[in-house]
Order: sequence, then C-alpha cells, then structure tokens
Amino acid sequence: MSIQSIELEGDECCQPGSTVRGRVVGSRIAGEVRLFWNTCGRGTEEVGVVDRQPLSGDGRFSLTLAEAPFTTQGTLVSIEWGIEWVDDSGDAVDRREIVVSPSGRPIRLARVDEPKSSKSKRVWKWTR
Amino acid sequence: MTARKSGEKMSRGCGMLFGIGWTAFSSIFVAVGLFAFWSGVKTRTWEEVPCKILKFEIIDVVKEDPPFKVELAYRYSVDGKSYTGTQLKAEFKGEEQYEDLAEIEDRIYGGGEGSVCWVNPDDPTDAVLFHGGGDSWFGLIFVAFGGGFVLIGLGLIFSAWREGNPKKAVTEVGDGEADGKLGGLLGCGFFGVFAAVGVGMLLGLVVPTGYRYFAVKGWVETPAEVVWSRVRESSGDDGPTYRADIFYSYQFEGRSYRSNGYSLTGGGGSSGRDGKLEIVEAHPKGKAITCYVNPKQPREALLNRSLGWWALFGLFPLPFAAIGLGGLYATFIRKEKPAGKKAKTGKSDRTPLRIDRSPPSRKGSTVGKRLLHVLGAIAIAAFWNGITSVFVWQVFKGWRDGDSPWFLTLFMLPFVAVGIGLIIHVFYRIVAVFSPIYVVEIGDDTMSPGSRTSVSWRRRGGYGSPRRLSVWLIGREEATYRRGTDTTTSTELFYEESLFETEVSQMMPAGRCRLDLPEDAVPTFAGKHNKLQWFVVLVADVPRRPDVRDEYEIVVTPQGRSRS
Repeated sequence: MSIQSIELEGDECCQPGSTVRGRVVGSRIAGEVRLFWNTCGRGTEEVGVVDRQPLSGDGRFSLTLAEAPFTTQGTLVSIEWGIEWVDDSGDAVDRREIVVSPSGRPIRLARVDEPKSSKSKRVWKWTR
Repeated sequence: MTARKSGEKMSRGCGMLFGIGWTAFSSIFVAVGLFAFWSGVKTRTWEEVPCKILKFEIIDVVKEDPPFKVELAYRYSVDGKSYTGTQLKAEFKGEEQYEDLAEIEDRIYGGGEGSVCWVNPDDPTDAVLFHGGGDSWFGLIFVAFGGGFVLIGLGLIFSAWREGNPKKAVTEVGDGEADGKLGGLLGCGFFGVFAAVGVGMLLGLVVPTGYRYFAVKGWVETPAEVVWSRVRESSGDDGPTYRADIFYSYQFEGRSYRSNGYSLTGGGGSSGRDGKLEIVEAHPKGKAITCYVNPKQPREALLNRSLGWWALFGLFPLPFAAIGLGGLYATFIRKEKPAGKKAKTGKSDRTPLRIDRSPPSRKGSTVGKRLLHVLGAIAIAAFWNGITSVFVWQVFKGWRDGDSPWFLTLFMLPFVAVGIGLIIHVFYRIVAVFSPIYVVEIGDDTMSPGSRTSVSWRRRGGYGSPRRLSVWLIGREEATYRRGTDTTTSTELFYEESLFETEVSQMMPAGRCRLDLPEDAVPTFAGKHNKLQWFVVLVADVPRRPDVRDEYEIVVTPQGRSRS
C-alpha cells in the first residue's frame, strides 16, 4: 500500500506572511491542498482556510500565509496552523501541522491566577 | 492534530452511549403515548353496523368515581347473528360532568345519532356507540413530549458520531457549521418541548376558559335545588387533590335539567380539602340555590361565574410559549457560513482576523447601558419570581388548609432563594446607575507589539467618591461553547499590567498615563467562538456602591501594521 503524504520544503516553522512550499506524494495525486488555521481548547472549534490550491500532476504546491493569527497555546484558546490534502470526495488524505509565528515557536500565553483588575468588594462579590 | 487530547476518544464513546440511552428512554414515552392514542382511536377502524337503541338512561352514583354512568342497551346484527351492546365508547367508565352525558342524550334523541354502532371485526360482541374515549389526547401529549426528548437524544448521538469520524477533513466543516446543524437539532427538541407545553396549555386550556368566561356573562340566573354534594378526591403525584362536586336540578323554559357544573375551572382541584368541604357543607341536599344557565344550551349550567385566582394562572403558559417559540425561531433563522467562503476572504485579506471592520468595542458604562442592565435585571427577576410565586402560593394554601406540604415546601426553598437573590440584584443594578461615570480616550486604539500610546480619562458625572482609581492593560482569552442547548462563555486573563493607580482623590477626576505594548504581545484574534483580545480597563473602587469597571478594546496587529 503506497503512503500518501504531504512533504514540506524546509522545516515546519514559518514566518507570518511567507510562502509555504511542498508537494504531496502518493499513488493518486488528486484534490487540493488547503492552508488553514483552527482553534482548539474550550471553545467551539473554528476553522479558517487561508489559501488553497488544486493539485496538478507533480503534486507541488505553493501557499501564502496570512500575517495572523500566530500559532498560540493558551489556557482556553489555542490556535494551530496546518496544511490539509483533501481528495475529490472531501475526505482528508493527509494533514501536516506547521508553526506560524515571528519567533518560529508557538506563542505560549500565561495565566493570570488572581487578576487584580477584576477584584470585587466582598459585599458585592456573590452577586457578580 | 497533536493538540487534541487523548481523552476525546473516550468522551466521544461516552457521549454516544449517553445519547443512545437518552433516546431509548425517551422512546418509551413515545411508545406509551402511541399506545394510549391508539386505544382512543382504534374504533375508527371498526365496521359500521346499523343498530337500534333499546335503553339510554343516565344514572348518578354519588359514592362512585366518576359518579355519572349510563345504562345503555342497543341491538345490532353481524353475519345474521344478533347482539346486544352496552358500551357507549371504548374503555368508557363514566363521566365526571353530568352535562357530557346529557349532550350525548340530546344527540341520540334530538339529533338522530346512535342509529349506527361500530363493531370490532375480530370480536362481534365488542361494539361501541360512539368513537372517542380512551386516552387519545393524553397519548398525543405523551408522544409530543417524548418526541422532543427523542430529538434531543438523536442530536447527542449525531454530535458524538460527528466528532468520532476519523476521515472528516478539518477544512470541510468550518466555523461551527456542523455545530450549527447539531444546535438546530437540539434546539428543535428542547424548545419544541417548551413550545408544546406553552402553546398546548394556551390553546387547550387558557383560551377556551377565557372565551367561556366572557360567554357565561350572558347566561340566565335560574333557581335550582341541590340533589347531592360531596368532596371528590383524586390521586395525584404530589398527593391527593380535592374538588367540590355539587349535583343540582333546575327548570328552564318548562323543561327539567340536571347538572354538576360548578365553575369555569371545574370546581378547582387542589390539595386543600378543608376549603372544598366548606363549599360542600354550604350546599346540603335539598337546599335552594341559584345557578346560571346557558340559554342556547340549557343543559349547561354553572354555580360560580368568576375566575378568581385562576385568572393569574392564565399567565402561566406564556413564558413557556415565549421561550419555546422564541427559541425555535432563533434556531431556524440562524445561518452558518461554510468554510469555502472563509477561504475566499483569506486569499485577499492578510490582516489580522476580525469579523468586521468596525472600531474596537468599547464597554464604557454610560447611564443608558446601566439603565438597560436595570431593565434586564427586573425582567429576569419578574419572570423567575412570577413562575415561582404560583408554586409558593400552593405551598401557602396547603399550610393554610392544614395539609402540611413539607415536600413541596422544601422543594421550593432553593427556587425562592434564587428569586430573592434576583430581587437583590435589581437593587444592586439600580444603585449602580448612580456610580461615577468616566470617559476614557486612547491615543491610538490600533497598535503593534512594542508600540506606545497614551490613555487619558475624565469624570463626566455620577455620584460617590472613589477611594482608589486604577488603569490596567489586560489581555484576555474568551471561549464560547455549547453544553447541550446552553451556550457558555469562559474567560481567562493571559496578561495584566497596572498603568496607573492612585488613592489620592485629587488625581482621580482626570489624568493621563502611558501605555507600552509588550514586544511579544499576541495579535488580536476575534473569531466567532474564540477570542484573544486586549483591553484598557479603568477601575474605580467606590465605597458602598458597585465598583466601576469600564473596558476599552485596543486592536493589536502584527508587527508593522499599526496606524500612524
């Protein structure tokens, strides 16, 4: 059974606004590749397709990243980037995760444990 | 994706099992409802056979429930063999209201009905004179309720299945589109149940009673005599209920009639026995009383034409109907955009994700907004306490009538506590209207990491002298998600910096401070369900009043994109 996969030129760390190049490998090159971000974590998942390209015979693609959002890891909200190879019937053939940020690493959001800006008076606290 | 937790697989399995169990349990209600409905309508499939009525006499048996029965006999023939039927309707055991049988008597002797009967093709000895009977309405209600819960169960199964589909492309369903479909299914089930209850009660109970209330004003005052009176007891889920049952006779236009019609609401079944006993003792056998007779249908009569407290009960279905119909409306008009449209937007727009191009949100607390909060708090408190008060009244009546409804009293305690809390919250909101009002200006509300701007504030009105005023820069995550049919929003701060803080009263009415955005500030992300946002927050701690907390959003763009 031949392996169908996405191969990237260069590593998986990309600068915002840059171009991601690569190719798909497999016995049947069909469908399209999509560059997308998606949220994960506590909130309902959202997906944004930033760029897409139908696949030709050689399977090569070139996709342009948006300036934002960055790959982020927060307490409630995380944002990931990826490239997905989708066949003609809409099923995912392969998916590769990439990191999009100026530093080349995911942005980790800290958690403020006891925010002082939202501190309430004790007498009102139970009503808030 | 690597970020998906390994426990998601287990939670999907549990979700599927829960959905299957929920659907199976709800299906029992649907099955019971269908069976009850069928018992009431099955005679419509029977064979119509001519018959002759030999005897039709209404008898009252005061010691039995229901007290009014029919001595009935009719002859019919099937396949040359003669039979005598005695059933009026399927599973007929009698009527609680005399006039229901009087109406049938009129239809037979005055309207020519009763010349045919319906015979069970499988058993010719089983026949009825009229359709109906059984529990067809009860069955329909059960089916409606059960059907709503089955829809919810199917929604849960669909949700779990969708999450577990391994071949699903992430980019095929975007921006909560499948959640939109699931939400529609769940919303239809959940709000459908509310709508069925509310509209059912409105159309089945409130509207007919209201119509009858105005109609009986034209009924004729007529002398009557009590035949018998008793307190009738019925078993209920929360204990027995009692009803005053007074059977009386009267003359109208030269003809004799009998009735046990008491009031528009039927004698008021409730848990208080003493009150009903009082009514019965005031109407002993042989006493001369006054009744009100329908001049168009003299067999209909009442002793009491007023609605009393029942008039308030007429409002009870309104919140259910409003929530149900409003929820169904919101569910079906909500639209989700497919991922494809987002791709077109993404190709031509490389700026940070924002749903619209309008200015950043400002949450300054104007008097208008505070008044809206007051109105909202009043609406919520009125709604909650309005419904709770109906049951509190039942508790009060129970204790007044000496029934000691302990279970209902304890059950209502948390609801009453919430109601009191909501009332207190109304007063809190009213006090907040008069808190100090500030206007905050931000030099540049669109910034890039590492840039600088100024923040100024000025007090515009309100009462009270803050003891502390502070200005903050915060970064906040916000995640919105569904739990069943509820939508919940959670927030967490990922950044907090004090820009200004003072306890000197002269520095509070107006001032200015500097805002330096961190070099590694994450750009603003404002999705539909997930947000990463930055705010300037002004907090004023006012003694004996709610704190002032105003938020002003600043948009953080990627490096090199801020406005000059």
